[in-house]
Amino acid sequence: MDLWKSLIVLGSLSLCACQDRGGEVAQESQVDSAVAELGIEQKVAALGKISFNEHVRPILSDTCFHCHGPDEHERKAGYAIHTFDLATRELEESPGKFGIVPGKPEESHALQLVFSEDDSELMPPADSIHKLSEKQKLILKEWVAQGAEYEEHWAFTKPRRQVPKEQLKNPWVVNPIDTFVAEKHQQLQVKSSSPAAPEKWMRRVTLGLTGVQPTMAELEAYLADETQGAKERVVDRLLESPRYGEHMAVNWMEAARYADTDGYQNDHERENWPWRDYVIKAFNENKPFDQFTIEQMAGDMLENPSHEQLIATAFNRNHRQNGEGGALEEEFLVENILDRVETVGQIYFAMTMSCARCHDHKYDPLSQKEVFSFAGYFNNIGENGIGQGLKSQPIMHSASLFASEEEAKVIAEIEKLNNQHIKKRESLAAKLRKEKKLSRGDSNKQASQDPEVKKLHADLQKWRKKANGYTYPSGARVMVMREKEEVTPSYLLERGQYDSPDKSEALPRTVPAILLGDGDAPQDRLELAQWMMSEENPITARVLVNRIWEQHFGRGICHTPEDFGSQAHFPTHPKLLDWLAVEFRESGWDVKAIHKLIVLSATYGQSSRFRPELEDPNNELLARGPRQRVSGYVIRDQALHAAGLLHEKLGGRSVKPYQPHGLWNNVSNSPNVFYRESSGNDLYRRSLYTFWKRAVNPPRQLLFDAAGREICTVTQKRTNTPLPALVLMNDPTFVEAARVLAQRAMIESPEDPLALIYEAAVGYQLRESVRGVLDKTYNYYQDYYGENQAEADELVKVGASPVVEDDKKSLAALMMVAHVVMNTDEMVTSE
Amino acid sequence: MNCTNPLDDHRMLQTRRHFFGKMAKGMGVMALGSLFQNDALGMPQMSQGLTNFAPKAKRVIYMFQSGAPSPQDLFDPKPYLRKHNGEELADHIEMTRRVTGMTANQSSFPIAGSHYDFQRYGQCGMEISELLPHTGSIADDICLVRSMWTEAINHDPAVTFFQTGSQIAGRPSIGSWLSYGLGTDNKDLPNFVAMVSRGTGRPNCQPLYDRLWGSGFLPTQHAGVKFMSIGDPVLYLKDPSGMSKKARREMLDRLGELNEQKLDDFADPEIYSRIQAYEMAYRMQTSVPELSDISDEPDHVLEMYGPDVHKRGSYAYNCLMARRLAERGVQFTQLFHMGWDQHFNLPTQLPGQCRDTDQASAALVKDLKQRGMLDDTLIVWGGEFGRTSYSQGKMSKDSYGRDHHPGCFPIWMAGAGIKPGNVFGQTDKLCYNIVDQDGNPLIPDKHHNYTKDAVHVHDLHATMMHLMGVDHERLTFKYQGRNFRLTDVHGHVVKGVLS
Repeated sequence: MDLWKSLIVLGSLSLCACQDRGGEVAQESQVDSAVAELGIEQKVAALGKISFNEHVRPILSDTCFHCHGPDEHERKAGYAIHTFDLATRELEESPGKFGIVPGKPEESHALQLVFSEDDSELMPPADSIHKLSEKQKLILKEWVAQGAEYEEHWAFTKPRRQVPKEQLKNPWVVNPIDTFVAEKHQQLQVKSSSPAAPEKWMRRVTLGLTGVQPTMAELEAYLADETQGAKERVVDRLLESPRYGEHMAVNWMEAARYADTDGYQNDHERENWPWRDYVIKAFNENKPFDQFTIEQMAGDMLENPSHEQLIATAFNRNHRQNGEGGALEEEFLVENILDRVETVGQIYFAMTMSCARCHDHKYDPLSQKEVFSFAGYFNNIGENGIGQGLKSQPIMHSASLFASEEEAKVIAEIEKLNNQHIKKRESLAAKLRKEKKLSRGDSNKQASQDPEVKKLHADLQKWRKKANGYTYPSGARVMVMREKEEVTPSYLLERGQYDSPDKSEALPRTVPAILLGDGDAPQDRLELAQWMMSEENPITARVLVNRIWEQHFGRGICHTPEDFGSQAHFPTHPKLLDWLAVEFRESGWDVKAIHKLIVLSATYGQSSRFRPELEDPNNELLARGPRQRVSGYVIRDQALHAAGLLHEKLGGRSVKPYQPHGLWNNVSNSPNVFYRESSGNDLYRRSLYTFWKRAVNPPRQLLFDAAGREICTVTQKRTNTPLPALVLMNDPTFVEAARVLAQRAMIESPEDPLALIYEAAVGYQLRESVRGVLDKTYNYYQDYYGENQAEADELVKVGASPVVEDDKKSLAALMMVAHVVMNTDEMVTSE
Repeated sequence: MNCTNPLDDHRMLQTRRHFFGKMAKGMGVMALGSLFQNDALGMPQMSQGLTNFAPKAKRVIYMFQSGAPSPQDLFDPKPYLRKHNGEELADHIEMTRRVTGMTANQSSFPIAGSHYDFQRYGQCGMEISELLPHTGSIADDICLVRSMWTEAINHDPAVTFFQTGSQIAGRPSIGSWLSYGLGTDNKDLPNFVAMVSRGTGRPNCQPLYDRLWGSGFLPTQHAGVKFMSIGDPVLYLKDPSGMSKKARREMLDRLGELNEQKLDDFADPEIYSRIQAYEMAYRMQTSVPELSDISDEPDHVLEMYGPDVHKRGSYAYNCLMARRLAERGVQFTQLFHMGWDQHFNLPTQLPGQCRDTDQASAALVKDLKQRGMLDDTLIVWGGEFGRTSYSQGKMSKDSYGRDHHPGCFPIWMAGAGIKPGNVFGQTDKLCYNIVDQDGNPLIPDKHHNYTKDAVHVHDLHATMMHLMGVDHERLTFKYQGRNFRLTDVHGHVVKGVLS
């Protein structure tokens, strides 16, 4: 009973923890008082010099800016507190009084109201959802007492390199990343964790860079390599693997809301997958990130753009497209354009520009006007705002970017012939309908019999047949950008409504002033892209490198990768973030180099054993290595890889692996919309190639927290619920993988199948403690299936791949062993 | 329902003891608190204490009628339309509202009077269409709101608005907000369940999408779990063919052993969560089939819901499921019934839609009532917008159709805290605008002009949350630097519908 009570306490405390991050300030005091041995005053005093960015801005932003911040329309009592000048002005409503008087808390009226015991004047108001804790109040007071210094928001200042040089001599330090971490450890007198066991590091880095586990051969080679630079050689090998580009593409696809359907109600299929191939290719070729960005943002505006550079621009066309009958063109044209604004804003500026669609931003210096000025870069391609995506010009035809030259040529020929054929047939049919008053069906039939049409059709069939045996047998129509010559004016939309443009003023294209500074505004999309990746842009390098860090550590150095504005989480290691940002840019935006630096650091290489005594569940101190559940994509790929089922082919049309029956037609507009499962090798492609339907996401990815791909998503979720457990228990994908892995073990390692199963699945050598459990499992099921042979016969039938083992009893028993292993926490966790 | 195996419970307890013995040493309460951010069962252990006042409702059943049921033919009698059948609507009212692309270019907007008669039901004398006699039979239990309005004019944004409080995709649905805010103590079933059925009125109709019960930016554990109408009721619930319950239990025990080894070694609370998640998954393998097995329902109950109740995946079946879920403590059950989009041939489509839904909707209310559960269950029935009083396309003697009209439409509510036998709000004689009690048109605007007689989507949400004991202005989640709410910066509790 007591135990349950304590669980209940924990249950409610867990909310505080969420909310602590979630910014319900009221909750913090609760947590504080639960732990504080130290008096609050002492705690504040211990902070020494109060930092505006670290300590004060989060409080003001969360509790005050809504009414006393950048949005002038919402401003109460004419008072604003977000800049020094405004905060220290004489108060409009209380002449003779000043909101903040630097150095004099007792004369600072705003502060007095914060401490007021009179509910009628208390700030934040007594009925507000915002409350200040005692600690927060004292921080504000201390800050005013120290002179109320304001700092520019950290994310809007240009990053600088400042390595703590004294740490370079620290023997723990492997590369500059570690100096920042070691400095904090020293300040807080925290010890780093010991290095992770070599096999742990090996698996962590292999999963992190390629998305599958290492093989035993790879592990053994690493363990045997006792010369200097063994780790580096592993990393170099992984970065050269084509799997690297596939793995890196996933996050980019989620951010760029890539999908294989249009979304909205009709959710028509589209074919932007050559863009996905572009992304994989770019990562694998280590295309400098500035070039990667410029091509995707404005490939169409480059001089003599290559085919690939044009395909790259689908980045800005991956938004949803409304094909609903009755949808209004102007309305959804606006939605498309603003979706581009939001996506670029999220990915490159970590700003939520859509927040300022209807009104000035509440927290950040971003006006509604600036958002629509920025929208002017993206409104000029002459697209249809509604209708099927596949038909929404500009469209271009493309083969997979991995197709050979010959394949691409043939596919282009097919497209050409196909167009000619359709055009000829339809013009003939139309003529017949007009002249001979034939019905649509009859006219089509007659037109098809025309000798010229027949010849075109025969040619077409001939070419198609030729393409049939190709690795990449079909092409796609890709939605791309194509800038029009004359500029389309952009207007501010009142309340963000498409039908309320303020036509009194055509807005000039520009970047929000807080980012642009004194520079000249880029004139078009290409200049914008160039500016984004230039040294002039203060924010992008940090935003990008923070997400790369997050990939490896599970959390960014700034914990809110989607928001670097004034509501952002203050970085745990701001100088490290800056250093990495500058390093990334100055390396020539060398993505592989940044990954390499991170995974070779001592910080990354630590053991990920939990350290309760540090009271640091989120690993903000970086005093241990990362331990995180891998993504749903990786979970499936690992299972296929272990079994030897993974069919590794780069790119091409999306595929449809196993999915429970009825998912599509259950919710689609017609009961006849079925999911047509792929066959053969296409059942076993890497998960990033799974057909992504927006209305019904691939269920196992959905259950493992994948982004829905309707809008840009840069945050990663990792939840732990019964539903993903059911996936691993019962999805035929995983049950089949267990069977095929068992088969493999029987054939390749008849003397010790258990070791092969475990080692292929998890990527560690089999430990004795685990062997004990696996032995027990195996013995149990040998007996069990001895008595229940029919069950064994049935169980091993799962999946489309052939059963090659005659001893079904042993196969089933080993299959259960593999099934247990594939469900373990160890299997789904990078540790 | 207690269908868990005592042995399993014992095992879990062992694990917990083990865990706390290990973890509690040298660790502050706060750290422990934060460890449990992602609760083990994927759901908070208990009420998170966010209720702001005593809740009237313990659970919600929302019967969403997707496609937009026609007000003029079902809930809002307009004799004036019949009288002026075929006349130009523009001759009767200035048509200021926007219309969809489907009828924008129509040369004529002929008034379409309903082909259906209305009659008064119950002691309250509520006027309801002859197409809905069963709904009529619960007139004294429901509160009919005739003055709903929304901003969206297309299905996708409009349904998304109803489910998530925003037309833009990506926000959490109502059920997930409540799950996040209130938590659950349900050990056997998910907290939020969604079920879909297809109408016979219009087989090719508006599709639905996963996000309608999604958790948006809230943790995924708060997403609705969709109960399927074919295959496993919950995705991947059933053990693979050839795997017996005994074989499964053994597998889970060995799995538990390995996971505990890992927990010993790494002390990561996520491992503990995973152990629990597997145990809950196992319990669901029993609790869900038991839930879906209606053989224990007496005939007289099944008869209430109508013959379709035996067809898995039908609306009637889903209504019965909703009651069974309610009995088992599930907090939010979301039904979606498709096929209410009668642009053309309304007279051939609408009666079928009504037959699909009328009896079972009423039966659910009656069934809950006879079990004493209506008092703490909130029921909502309605679609995403209204329909035009003019006919879409050509009108004939036998046929007409109606386009989308967001300006006014009805929904009904019943149960916990709702004033029964009550009609709230009214529309003008043309069913074009909401009007006040004196018949003056109201042009509500959520930004400037809150009018208490008009019920916006945000107001409905605020009211639903209020009945669940949650202040809609206080339940927030910070994402992208902003404290998001289900009701954005709007929403008023509609006092007039409360008892």
